[in-house]
Amino acid sequence: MKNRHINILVGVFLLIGVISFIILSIKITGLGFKDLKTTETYELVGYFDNIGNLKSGSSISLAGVEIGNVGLIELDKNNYTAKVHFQINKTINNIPVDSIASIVTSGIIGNKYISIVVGAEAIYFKDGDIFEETQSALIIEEIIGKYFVNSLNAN
Amino acid sequence: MLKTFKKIENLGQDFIDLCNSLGESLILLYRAIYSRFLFENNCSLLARQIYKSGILSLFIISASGIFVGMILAFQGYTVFSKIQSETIIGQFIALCLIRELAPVIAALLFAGRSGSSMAAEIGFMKSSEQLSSMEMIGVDPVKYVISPMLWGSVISMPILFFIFCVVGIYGGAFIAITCLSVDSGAFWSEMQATITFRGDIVKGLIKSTVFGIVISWISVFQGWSSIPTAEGVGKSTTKAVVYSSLTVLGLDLILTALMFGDI
Repeated sequence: MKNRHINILVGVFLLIGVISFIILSIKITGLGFKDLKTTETYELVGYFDNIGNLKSGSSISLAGVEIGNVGLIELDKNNYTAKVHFQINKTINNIPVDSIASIVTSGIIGNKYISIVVGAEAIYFKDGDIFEETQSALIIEEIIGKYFVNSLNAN
Repeated sequence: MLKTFKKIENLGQDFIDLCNSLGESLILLYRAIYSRFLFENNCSLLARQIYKSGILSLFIISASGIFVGMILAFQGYTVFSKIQSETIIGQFIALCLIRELAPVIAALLFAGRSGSSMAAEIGFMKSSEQLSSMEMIGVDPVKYVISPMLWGSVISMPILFFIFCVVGIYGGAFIAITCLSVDSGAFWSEMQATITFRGDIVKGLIKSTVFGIVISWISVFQGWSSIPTAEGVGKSTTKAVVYSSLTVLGLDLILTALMFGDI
Protein backbone atom coordinates (compact mmCIF):
# COMPACT_ATOMS: atom_id res chain seq x y z
CA MET A 1 0.00 0.00 0.00
CA LYS A 2 2.82 2.37 0.94
CA ASN A 3 4.62 1.46 -2.28
CA ARG A 4 1.55 2.19 -4.38
CA HIS A 5 1.16 5.54 -2.67
CA ILE A 6 4.72 6.50 -3.64
CA ASN A 7 4.25 5.26 -7.20
CA ILE A 8 1.17 7.43 -7.64
CA LEU A 9 3.00 10.47 -6.26
CA VAL A 10 5.94 9.87 -8.59
CA GLY A 11 3.56 9.55 -11.52
CA VAL A 12 1.95 12.88 -10.61
CA PHE A 13 5.40 14.45 -10.27
CA LEU A 14 6.46 13.28 -13.73
CA LEU A 15 3.14 14.54 -15.10
CA ILE A 16 3.71 17.99 -13.57
CA GLY A 17 7.14 17.98 -15.20
CA VAL A 18 5.69 17.17 -18.62
CA ILE A 19 2.96 19.82 -18.23
CA SER A 20 5.44 22.52 -17.26
CA PHE A 21 7.64 21.51 -20.20
CA ILE A 22 4.67 21.94 -22.53
CA ILE A 23 3.83 25.32 -20.97
CA LEU A 24 7.45 26.40 -21.39
CA SER A 25 7.60 25.39 -25.02
CA ILE A 26 4.21 26.72 -26.11
CA LYS A 27 3.32 29.69 -23.93
CA ILE A 28 6.79 31.07 -23.37
CA THR A 29 8.60 30.44 -26.64
CA GLY A 30 5.39 31.08 -28.58
CA LEU A 31 5.96 27.84 -30.47
CA GLY A 32 2.44 27.30 -31.75
CA PHE A 33 1.13 24.52 -33.93
CA LYS A 34 1.12 26.90 -36.86
CA ASP A 35 4.92 27.12 -36.65
CA LEU A 36 5.28 23.37 -36.86
CA LYS A 37 3.79 23.03 -40.31
CA THR A 38 5.83 25.08 -42.73
CA THR A 39 3.80 27.76 -44.47
CA GLU A 40 4.26 27.89 -48.23
CA THR A 41 6.21 30.92 -49.34
CA TYR A 42 7.48 32.56 -52.50
CA GLU A 43 10.70 34.46 -52.82
CA LEU A 44 11.37 38.08 -53.74
CA VAL A 45 14.76 39.77 -53.88
CA GLY A 46 15.71 43.28 -52.82
CA TYR A 47 19.01 45.16 -53.10
CA PHE A 48 19.87 47.59 -50.29
CA ASP A 49 22.76 50.03 -49.93
CA ASN A 50 22.96 49.36 -46.21
CA ILE A 51 20.93 46.91 -44.15
CA GLY A 52 22.12 47.99 -40.69
CA ASN A 53 21.87 44.94 -38.46
CA LEU A 54 19.00 43.23 -40.26
CA LYS A 55 19.32 39.50 -39.71
CA SER A 56 17.94 36.50 -41.54
CA GLY A 57 14.71 35.56 -39.78
CA SER A 58 13.66 39.17 -39.18
CA SER A 59 10.03 39.79 -40.01
CA ILE A 60 8.55 41.44 -43.07
CA SER A 61 5.42 43.42 -42.42
CA LEU A 62 2.76 45.07 -44.51
CA ALA A 63 0.54 47.59 -42.73
CA GLY A 64 2.06 46.29 -39.49
CA VAL A 65 0.96 42.70 -40.10
CA GLU A 66 3.68 40.08 -40.44
CA ILE A 67 3.53 38.50 -43.90
CA GLY A 68 6.88 36.74 -44.10
CA ASN A 69 10.49 36.50 -43.00
CA VAL A 70 13.88 37.55 -44.30
CA GLY A 71 15.70 34.57 -45.77
CA LEU A 72 19.31 34.58 -46.90
CA ILE A 73 21.31 37.83 -46.81
CA GLU A 74 24.40 38.07 -48.99
CA LEU A 75 26.73 40.68 -50.43
CA ASP A 76 26.42 41.42 -54.14
CA LYS A 77 30.12 41.67 -54.98
CA ASN A 78 29.69 43.57 -58.25
CA ASN A 79 27.58 46.45 -56.94
CA TYR A 80 28.69 46.43 -53.29
CA THR A 81 25.07 46.19 -52.19
CA ALA A 82 23.31 43.78 -49.87
CA LYS A 83 21.11 41.19 -51.58
CA VAL A 84 18.22 40.22 -49.31
CA HIS A 85 15.90 37.32 -50.06
CA PHE A 86 12.32 37.77 -48.81
CA GLN A 87 10.18 34.74 -47.99
CA ILE A 88 6.57 35.88 -48.32
CA ASN A 89 3.45 33.82 -47.61
CA LYS A 90 1.82 32.33 -50.72
CA THR A 91 -1.53 33.75 -49.67
CA ILE A 92 -0.28 37.34 -50.04
CA ASN A 93 -0.02 37.28 -53.82
CA ASN A 94 -1.18 40.79 -54.66
CA ILE A 95 1.76 43.06 -53.81
CA PRO A 96 2.07 45.68 -56.60
CA VAL A 97 5.44 45.80 -58.38
CA ASP A 98 6.05 49.45 -57.48
CA SER A 99 5.83 48.82 -53.74
CA ILE A 100 8.64 50.14 -51.57
CA ALA A 101 10.58 47.88 -49.20
CA SER A 102 12.23 49.83 -46.40
CA ILE A 103 14.25 48.71 -43.40
CA VAL A 104 12.85 50.21 -40.21
CA THR A 105 13.49 49.80 -36.51
CA SER A 106 10.88 48.99 -33.90
CA GLY A 107 11.50 51.60 -31.22
CA ILE A 108 14.84 53.32 -30.79
CA ILE A 109 16.85 50.28 -29.79
CA GLY A 110 14.52 47.60 -31.13
CA ASN A 111 15.05 44.99 -33.82
CA LYS A 112 15.24 45.89 -37.50
CA TYR A 113 12.47 44.63 -39.77
CA ILE A 114 11.31 45.22 -43.31
CA SER A 115 8.19 47.26 -43.90
CA ILE A 116 6.48 47.20 -47.29
CA VAL A 117 4.62 50.28 -48.47
CA VAL A 118 2.10 49.27 -51.11
CA GLY A 119 2.30 50.88 -54.56
CA ALA A 120 -0.37 51.62 -57.11
CA GLU A 121 0.42 49.33 -60.12
CA ALA A 122 -2.03 46.64 -61.14
CA ILE A 123 0.80 44.19 -61.90
CA TYR A 124 1.74 42.00 -58.95
CA PHE A 125 5.02 40.43 -57.83
CA LYS A 126 5.69 36.83 -58.83
CA ASP A 127 8.19 34.35 -57.42
CA GLY A 128 11.79 35.48 -57.98
CA ASP A 129 10.97 39.11 -58.82
CA ILE A 130 13.19 41.99 -57.73
CA PHE A 131 12.10 44.99 -55.68
CA GLU A 132 12.95 48.11 -57.67
CA GLU A 133 12.23 50.55 -54.87
CA THR A 134 14.15 49.98 -51.66
CA GLN A 135 15.06 52.18 -48.75
CA SER A 136 18.13 51.45 -46.63
CA ALA A 137 18.31 51.33 -42.88
CA LEU A 138 18.72 54.57 -40.99
CA ILE A 139 22.07 54.62 -39.25
CA ILE A 140 21.89 56.97 -36.28
CA GLU A 141 25.60 57.88 -36.51
CA GLU A 142 25.14 59.04 -40.11
CA ILE A 143 22.20 61.25 -39.17
CA ILE A 144 24.16 62.78 -36.31
CA GLY A 145 27.13 63.28 -38.65
CA LYS A 146 24.94 65.07 -41.21
CA TYR A 147 23.43 67.23 -38.52
CA PHE A 148 26.89 68.28 -37.35
CA VAL A 149 28.05 69.11 -40.86
CA ASN A 150 24.91 71.17 -41.47
CA SER A 151 25.26 73.08 -38.23
CA LEU A 152 28.94 73.77 -38.99
CA ASN A 153 28.04 75.03 -42.47
CA ALA A 154 25.36 77.29 -41.04
CA ASN A 155 27.91 78.87 -38.74
CA MET B 1 64.62 23.67 7.69
CA LEU B 2 62.83 20.66 9.05
CA LYS B 3 59.58 22.63 9.22
CA THR B 4 59.63 23.59 5.53
CA PHE B 5 60.41 19.99 4.69
CA LYS B 6 57.40 18.88 6.73
CA LYS B 7 55.21 21.40 4.93
CA ILE B 8 56.30 20.13 1.52
CA GLU B 9 55.61 16.60 2.67
CA ASN B 10 52.11 17.58 3.81
CA LEU B 11 51.45 19.28 0.50
CA GLY B 12 52.47 16.16 -1.38
CA GLN B 13 50.32 14.00 0.90
CA ASP B 14 47.30 16.27 0.30
CA PHE B 15 47.78 16.09 -3.45
CA ILE B 16 48.02 12.30 -3.39
CA ASP B 17 44.87 12.15 -1.22
CA LEU B 18 43.04 14.40 -3.68
CA CYS B 19 44.04 12.19 -6.61
CA ASN B 20 43.02 9.10 -4.65
CA SER B 21 39.57 10.42 -3.81
CA LEU B 22 39.02 11.62 -7.39
CA GLY B 23 39.90 8.16 -8.65
CA GLU B 24 37.73 6.46 -6.06
CA SER B 25 34.76 8.67 -6.91
CA LEU B 26 35.19 7.91 -10.62
CA ILE B 27 35.29 4.19 -9.83
CA LEU B 28 32.13 4.56 -7.74
CA LEU B 29 30.36 6.38 -10.58
CA TYR B 30 31.50 3.73 -13.05
CA ARG B 31 30.29 0.92 -10.82
CA ALA B 32 26.94 2.64 -10.26
CA ILE B 33 26.37 3.06 -13.99
CA TYR B 34 27.80 -0.33 -14.90
CA SER B 35 25.57 -2.18 -12.45
CA ARG B 36 22.82 -1.74 -15.07
CA PHE B 37 20.32 -0.77 -12.45
CA LEU B 38 17.88 0.71 -14.94
CA PHE B 39 17.72 -2.38 -17.12
CA GLU B 40 16.32 -4.59 -14.42
CA ASN B 41 12.94 -4.26 -12.87
CA ASN B 42 13.79 -1.99 -9.93
CA CYS B 43 11.01 0.54 -10.34
CA SER B 44 10.03 0.67 -6.69
CA LEU B 45 13.57 1.57 -5.56
CA LEU B 46 13.80 4.29 -8.21
CA ALA B 47 10.33 5.60 -7.37
CA ARG B 48 11.25 5.83 -3.71
CA GLN B 49 14.36 7.84 -4.58
CA ILE B 50 12.48 10.18 -6.93
CA TYR B 51 9.94 10.66 -4.16
CA LYS B 52 12.67 11.49 -1.64
CA SER B 53 14.78 13.80 -3.76
CA GLY B 54 12.25 15.22 -6.20
CA ILE B 55 8.82 15.39 -4.68
CA LEU B 56 9.92 16.37 -1.20
CA SER B 57 11.92 19.30 -2.61
CA LEU B 58 9.00 20.40 -4.77
CA PHE B 59 7.77 22.86 -2.16
CA ILE B 60 11.05 24.70 -1.60
CA ILE B 61 11.72 24.80 -5.35
CA SER B 62 8.35 26.25 -6.31
CA ALA B 63 8.29 28.71 -3.40
CA SER B 64 11.71 30.09 -4.26
CA GLY B 65 10.77 30.11 -7.95
CA ILE B 66 7.82 32.39 -7.27
CA PHE B 67 9.89 34.74 -5.13
CA VAL B 68 12.77 34.92 -7.60
CA GLY B 69 10.39 35.72 -10.45
CA MET B 70 8.66 38.46 -8.45
CA ILE B 71 11.96 40.02 -7.37
CA LEU B 72 13.19 40.02 -10.97
CA ALA B 73 10.02 41.83 -12.02
CA PHE B 74 10.50 44.57 -9.41
CA GLN B 75 14.20 45.06 -10.06
CA GLY B 76 13.77 44.94 -13.83
CA TYR B 77 11.07 47.59 -13.58
CA THR B 78 13.33 50.05 -11.75
CA VAL B 79 15.83 49.93 -14.62
CA PHE B 80 13.55 49.57 -17.64
CA SER B 81 11.11 52.26 -16.54
CA LYS B 82 13.98 54.75 -16.76
CA ILE B 83 14.30 54.15 -20.50
CA GLN B 84 10.54 53.96 -21.02
CA SER B 85 10.54 50.33 -22.11
CA GLU B 86 8.76 48.45 -19.35
CA THR B 87 7.55 45.80 -21.77
CA ILE B 88 11.07 44.33 -21.97
CA ILE B 89 10.49 42.96 -18.45
CA GLY B 90 8.84 39.86 -19.92
CA GLN B 91 11.83 38.80 -21.92
CA PHE B 92 14.19 39.90 -19.14
CA ILE B 93 12.52 37.63 -16.58
CA ALA B 94 12.27 34.69 -18.94
CA LEU B 95 15.86 34.96 -20.17
CA CYS B 96 17.30 35.32 -16.67
CA LEU B 97 15.29 32.41 -15.35
CA ILE B 98 15.68 29.95 -18.20
CA ARG B 99 19.34 30.59 -18.94
CA GLU B 100 20.86 31.11 -15.50
CA LEU B 101 18.80 31.43 -12.39
CA ALA B 102 16.50 28.43 -12.68
CA PRO B 103 19.23 25.82 -13.28
CA VAL B 104 21.61 27.31 -10.70
CA ILE B 105 19.22 28.16 -7.87
CA ALA B 106 17.31 24.91 -8.29
CA ALA B 107 20.63 23.06 -8.18
CA LEU B 108 21.82 24.90 -5.06
CA LEU B 109 18.54 24.21 -3.27
CA PHE B 110 18.63 20.63 -4.45
CA ALA B 111 22.17 20.25 -3.07
CA GLY B 112 21.05 21.58 0.29
CA ARG B 113 17.80 19.66 0.41
CA SER B 114 18.61 16.29 -1.19
CA GLY B 115 22.38 16.12 -1.54
CA SER B 116 22.89 16.46 2.20
CA SER B 117 20.30 13.80 2.96
CA MET B 118 21.88 11.39 0.47
CA ALA B 119 25.33 11.89 2.01
CA ALA B 120 23.98 11.51 5.55
CA GLU B 121 22.01 8.39 4.67
CA ILE B 122 24.93 6.59 3.09
CA GLY B 123 27.32 7.80 5.77
CA PHE B 124 25.10 6.44 8.52
CA MET B 125 24.64 3.15 6.66
CA LYS B 126 28.41 2.91 6.50
CA SER B 127 28.99 3.76 10.16
CA SER B 128 26.36 1.29 11.34
CA GLU B 129 27.94 -1.32 9.02
CA GLN B 130 24.79 -1.85 6.99
CA LEU B 131 26.76 -1.54 3.76
CA SER B 132 29.23 -4.24 4.79
CA SER B 133 26.43 -6.54 5.90
CA MET B 134 24.73 -6.07 2.55
CA GLU B 135 27.96 -7.14 0.87
CA MET B 136 28.17 -10.07 3.28
CA ILE B 137 24.82 -11.51 2.21
CA GLY B 138 25.69 -11.02 -1.44
CA VAL B 139 23.70 -7.87 -2.19
CA ASP B 140 25.65 -5.22 -4.05
CA PRO B 141 25.20 -1.92 -2.14
CA VAL B 142 26.36 0.09 -5.17
CA LYS B 143 23.53 -1.36 -7.20
CA TYR B 144 20.73 -1.17 -4.65
CA VAL B 145 21.69 1.97 -2.69
CA ILE B 146 23.93 4.19 -4.81
CA SER B 147 22.47 3.66 -8.29
CA PRO B 148 18.87 4.56 -7.39
CA MET B 149 20.10 7.76 -5.75
CA LEU B 150 22.08 8.79 -8.82
CA TRP B 151 19.31 8.01 -11.29
CA GLY B 152 16.66 9.49 -9.03
CA SER B 153 18.30 12.89 -8.94
CA VAL B 154 19.26 12.80 -12.63
CA ILE B 155 15.57 12.31 -13.42
CA SER B 156 14.14 14.78 -10.91
CA MET B 157 16.55 17.68 -11.49
CA PRO B 158 15.28 18.61 -15.02
CA ILE B 159 11.68 18.36 -13.85
CA LEU B 160 12.43 20.69 -10.95
CA PHE B 161 14.05 23.04 -13.48
CA PHE B 162 10.90 23.13 -15.60
CA ILE B 163 8.73 23.76 -12.55
CA PHE B 164 11.05 26.51 -11.30
CA CYS B 165 10.92 28.27 -14.69
CA VAL B 166 7.16 28.11 -15.10
CA VAL B 167 6.40 29.16 -11.54
CA GLY B 168 8.97 31.97 -11.68
CA ILE B 169 7.74 33.36 -14.97
CA TYR B 170 4.12 33.34 -13.83
CA GLY B 171 5.12 34.96 -10.52
CA GLY B 172 6.98 37.68 -12.41
CA ALA B 173 4.05 38.11 -14.80
CA PHE B 174 1.68 38.51 -11.86
CA ILE B 175 3.79 41.30 -10.31
CA ALA B 176 4.52 43.01 -13.62
CA ILE B 177 0.96 42.96 -14.93
CA THR B 178 -1.11 43.53 -11.80
CA CYS B 179 1.16 45.59 -9.55
CA LEU B 180 3.36 47.49 -12.00
CA SER B 181 0.64 47.71 -14.70
CA VAL B 182 2.81 46.58 -17.60
CA ASP B 183 0.71 45.79 -20.68
CA SER B 184 0.02 42.07 -20.59
CA GLY B 185 -0.07 41.53 -24.36
CA ALA B 186 3.28 43.24 -24.86
CA PHE B 187 4.71 41.37 -21.87
CA TRP B 188 3.97 37.94 -23.35
CA SER B 189 4.68 38.78 -26.99
CA GLU B 190 8.09 40.33 -26.24
CA MET B 191 8.90 37.19 -24.30
CA GLN B 192 7.74 34.90 -27.08
CA ALA B 193 9.69 36.86 -29.66
CA THR B 194 12.95 36.45 -27.75
CA ILE B 195 12.91 33.01 -26.15
CA THR B 196 13.66 30.17 -28.53
CA PHE B 197 13.19 26.50 -27.86
CA ARG B 198 16.59 25.34 -29.06
CA GLY B 199 18.59 28.36 -27.98
CA ASP B 200 17.31 28.77 -24.45
CA ILE B 201 15.16 25.94 -23.14
CA VAL B 202 17.33 23.09 -24.41
CA LYS B 203 20.47 24.76 -23.05
CA GLY B 204 18.88 25.31 -19.64
CA LEU B 205 17.81 21.67 -19.70
CA ILE B 206 21.38 20.55 -20.45
CA LYS B 207 22.66 22.68 -17.58
CA SER B 208 20.20 21.32 -15.05
CA THR B 209 20.82 17.70 -16.10
CA VAL B 210 24.58 18.17 -15.70
CA PHE B 211 24.03 19.75 -12.28
CA GLY B 212 21.80 16.83 -11.25
CA ILE B 213 24.52 14.33 -12.16
CA VAL B 214 27.26 16.32 -10.41
CA ILE B 215 25.33 16.97 -7.19
CA SER B 216 24.25 13.37 -6.72
CA TRP B 217 27.71 12.09 -7.63
CA ILE B 218 29.49 14.34 -5.12
CA SER B 219 26.97 13.73 -2.33
CA VAL B 220 26.93 9.98 -2.80
CA PHE B 221 30.71 9.83 -2.86
CA GLN B 222 31.04 11.99 0.26
CA GLY B 223 28.73 9.61 2.11
CA TRP B 224 30.48 6.54 0.69
CA SER B 225 33.96 7.73 1.73
CA SER B 226 32.95 9.21 5.10
CA ILE B 227 34.78 8.27 8.29
CA PRO B 228 32.40 5.82 10.05
CA THR B 229 31.85 7.87 13.18
CA ALA B 230 29.14 10.32 14.18
CA GLU B 231 31.53 13.21 13.58
CA GLY B 232 32.65 11.78 10.24
CA VAL B 233 29.07 11.55 8.98
CA GLY B 234 28.44 15.15 9.98
CA LYS B 235 31.60 16.27 8.21
CA SER B 236 30.77 14.40 5.04
CA THR B 237 27.29 15.94 4.97
CA THR B 238 28.78 19.42 5.22
CA LYS B 239 31.36 18.59 2.56
CA ALA B 240 28.67 17.25 0.23
CA VAL B 241 26.76 20.54 0.32
CA VAL B 242 29.81 22.80 0.13
CA TYR B 243 31.56 20.91 -2.65
CA SER B 244 28.46 20.43 -4.76
CA SER B 245 27.44 24.11 -4.45
CA LEU B 246 30.92 25.27 -5.49
CA THR B 247 31.07 22.76 -8.33
CA VAL B 248 27.65 23.86 -9.59
CA LEU B 249 28.72 27.51 -9.70
CA GLY B 250 32.04 26.71 -11.37
CA LEU B 251 30.45 24.38 -13.91
CA ASP B 252 27.81 27.00 -14.63
CA LEU B 253 30.53 29.41 -15.70
CA ILE B 254 32.10 26.80 -17.97
CA LEU B 255 28.77 25.71 -19.49
CA THR B 256 27.70 29.32 -20.04
CA ALA B 257 31.00 30.11 -21.75
CA LEU B 258 30.64 27.02 -23.93
CA MET B 259 26.96 27.43 -24.88
CA PHE B 260 26.33 31.19 -24.85
CA GLY B 261 29.85 32.61 -25.16
CA ASP B 262 30.30 31.99 -28.92
CA ILE B 263 33.69 30.41 -28.37
